[in-house]
Amino acid sequence: MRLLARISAGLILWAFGFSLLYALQGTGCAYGWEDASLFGTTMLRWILVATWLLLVAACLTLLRLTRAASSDFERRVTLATVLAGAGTMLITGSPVALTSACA
Amino acid sequence: MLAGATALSLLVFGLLLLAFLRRGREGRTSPTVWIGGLGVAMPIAVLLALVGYALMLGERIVAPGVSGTVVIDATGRQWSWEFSHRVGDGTPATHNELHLPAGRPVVLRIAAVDVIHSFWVPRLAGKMDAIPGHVNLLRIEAAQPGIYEGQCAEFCGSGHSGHLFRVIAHDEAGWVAFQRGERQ
Repeated sequence: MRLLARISAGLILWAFGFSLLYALQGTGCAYGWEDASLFGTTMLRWILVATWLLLVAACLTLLRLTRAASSDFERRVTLATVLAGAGTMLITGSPVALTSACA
Repeated sequence: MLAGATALSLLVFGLLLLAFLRRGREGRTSPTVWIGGLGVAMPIAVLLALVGYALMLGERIVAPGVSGTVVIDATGRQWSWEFSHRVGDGTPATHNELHLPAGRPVVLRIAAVDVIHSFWVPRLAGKMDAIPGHVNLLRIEAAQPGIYEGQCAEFCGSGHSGHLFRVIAHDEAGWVAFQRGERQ
């Protein structure tokens, strides 16, 4: 069970992160966070971008799971899934910095 | 886009043909090139380019940002469309007939009053959901004056198949006349 948890942790964190960004975007638009200016942009933009960057960093911290691997195969699979999760988090979250939030 | 798709298709077909023609011979290309390069890296590069293009297109569709743009409210209901043209004084709302100027960007504020509908004029733009309690923006532009057919693209009940409308794109003179209330 722990083996399964370790090798799927990167992808599970990405799934959680994507859902969190989705929920924050909808909630922020509904509550008008887009209308509140903060340091040159909107409060919603700051919240979304900060959350996205924290999620990418969190995905990368999972790399230490590879040290706990008991076999070479497990280490390689864990490394691949963690990097896939971090890369996917970086790409699928990037629209929070690049596109209109509440159009 | 079509050229890119054609080039990629030809590449894949060519490689497949090569595999059949050289069947049984010792290959010198390493599996890393096949799987890592052509199987993983190339699709990622192509998909990233497509995502970037889609995001740019999406921004162009939803972000108005153009001064002097005509804004029209489009409201869907079972089973008709109401268009409120915010031009001139006393320009009446129209039913199932959207009037706009040709050759100019138009921003539609799309909403619904009962269930979810979807505004779709295939020749002018992609689909945009019409959702009760929420306004979606869609920027469209008719290059030429004329009549464009539109339809609801989200199943909205037993009358969905007849939930149709038409877009009438006017030339400058026709648009001025419409704004004055001179319906043709």
